[in-house]
Amino acid sequence: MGDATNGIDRPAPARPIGPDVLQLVVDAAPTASVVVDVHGTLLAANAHAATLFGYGLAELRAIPVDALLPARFRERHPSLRASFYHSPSARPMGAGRDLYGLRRDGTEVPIEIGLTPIEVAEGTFVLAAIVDLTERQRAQEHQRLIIEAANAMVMVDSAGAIALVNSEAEALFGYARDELLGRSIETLVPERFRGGHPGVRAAFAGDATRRPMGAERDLFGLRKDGSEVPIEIGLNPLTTPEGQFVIASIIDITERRRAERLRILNAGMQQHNEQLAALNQELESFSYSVSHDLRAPIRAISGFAGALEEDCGALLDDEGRRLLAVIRGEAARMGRLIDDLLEFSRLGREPLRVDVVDMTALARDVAERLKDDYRATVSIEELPPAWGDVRLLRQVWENLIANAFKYSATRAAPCVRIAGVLSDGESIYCVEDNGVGFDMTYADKLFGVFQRLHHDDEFSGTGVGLATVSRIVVRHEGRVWGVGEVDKGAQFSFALPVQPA
Amino acid sequence: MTDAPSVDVLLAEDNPYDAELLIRAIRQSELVRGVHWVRDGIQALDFLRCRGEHAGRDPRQRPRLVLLDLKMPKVDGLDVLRALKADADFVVPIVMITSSGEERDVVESYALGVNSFVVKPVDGFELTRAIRTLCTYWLALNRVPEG
Repeated sequence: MGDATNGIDRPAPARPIGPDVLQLVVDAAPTASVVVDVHGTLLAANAHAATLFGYGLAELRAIPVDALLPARFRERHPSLRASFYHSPSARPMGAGRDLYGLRRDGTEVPIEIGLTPIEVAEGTFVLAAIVDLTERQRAQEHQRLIIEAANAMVMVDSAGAIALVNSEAEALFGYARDELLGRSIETLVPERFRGGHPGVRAAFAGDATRRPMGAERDLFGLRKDGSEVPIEIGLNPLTTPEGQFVIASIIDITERRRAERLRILNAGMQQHNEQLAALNQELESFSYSVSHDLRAPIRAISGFAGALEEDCGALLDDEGRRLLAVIRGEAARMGRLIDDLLEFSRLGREPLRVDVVDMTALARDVAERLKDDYRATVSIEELPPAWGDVRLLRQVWENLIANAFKYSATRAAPCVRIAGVLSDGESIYCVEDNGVGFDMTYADKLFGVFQRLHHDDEFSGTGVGLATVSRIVVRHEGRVWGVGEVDKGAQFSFALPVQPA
Repeated sequence: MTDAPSVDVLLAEDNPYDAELLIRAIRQSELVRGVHWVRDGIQALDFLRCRGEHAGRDPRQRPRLVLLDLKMPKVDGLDVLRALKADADFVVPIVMITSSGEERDVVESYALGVNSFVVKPVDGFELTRAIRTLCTYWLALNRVPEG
């Protein structure tokens, strides 16, 4: 009686078996099933089979079984069928090859076929149980895609358990595959989002379409080490014979975020630069106007006071002439203040013209030009060369050396020493005098504009010299400082980078 | 002084006090017989080209020196300089006298062919001395082609 294990084909041996009985057998089968004789005639087919092949039930029963095969298999099929009938036994068809059925509409469907011989008095028939592999293949294809994907991919079942992860996902979240499989997807969700996640998941399951997750919101993943990673997630529903799944494709957007931030920062910087340029331009025209227009009234005050003295000097007494002299003197001082201020403002605006500067020669030259007005002894050591704008560095020396001369002029033996040293990537220069010095309490005021530590009647000056020095040195990315003690002299130093990068 | 037949110096200066002090200084130079003062560039060009209110002036009566303030309303000193130096026959020395020695002004003036560039000293005495020196040089020492 052949293979009775099937349980379906259990015909009564005594009775002749007819098509009706065969039909009853296939109707009872849970899968698509047909019964075929040695000639390839369909003796019975069930509704599952009709659906699978896209025929009406009656239609299906009226065609030869070869009509359900793609043309490329059709030629060999009769001989294969004959060989099956030669030694009938229950077995899967196709011996490891991929099998396809031909649907009525001409499309092919991947199938798996189990063959069971039915041996009865009338002869041997074969019961073919056919399984549609479309879903399974799709699921396998999805799995393959997940495993091979360049992105991190996590497949989650309908209960939220992780069913599959690829190595990218392992790397992204810092877990080994085994640590994730079976765990809840919420494992990978930061604490603050975790409470709402199952609800969101349920909502997606209810309206499962392929879409990005978290529309408009910033998403983060939680790594094993507790750190968070900004991510973007694409969701893809997947239906398989094993149930509903969701495939989440996860992209680490840390770099993109960084690039965005950088872009925003750069845009801000650009704007800032433009504003700065505009401001500089404004300052430029401002100081240009100042230099022209502010001087005119001062010139008038001084000039007319001079004219008065010339024309009417004889009519004035000593006090009258003294008053006129005060007017002219103060006007002159105002002129110097304006000049110094303009010069100071120009320092910050003009571009640096950088080159190697022989500081020994420069300091010597400056000291030589200045010393005629003073009687100080000057010693200049060999100085390390500098990297900077020679016009500006000359002003640094002029201010520092002139100061040293000025503030030591009241000494019995005024002495100015200039030294330099190369130290730790910096060229350090120093101008030292044995003059009146200063109180270190006020050291922070040394380099401010119009800041003076002496009265005008003690030492003349506009209070711009050291501010100028500081501005120039800072523009060269250097440092400047002063050390002093009242009546014990002062030492002013500045350091310049040996060569800016 | 105005339209006197012998104008040695044409002074273009918009600030009346500056002009007064400059004229005072120029007059102290014994070399100068006449100074004509104009208040802007248009008047300066009108005077030199004998047009406008100077239409009746004899064009052969050229000053021996032109002093131009740089910053004047409407047509400034640089504009006048540009216009005058465009005329190859105009050989009168032109000296810029200005409040500030802004480098770009100096550069542009020389690019336009200025003969001299002088910053007006703030101090009254120094201004007088500077103008006297200037007149001595340009009126007594300097030679120009016979016009």
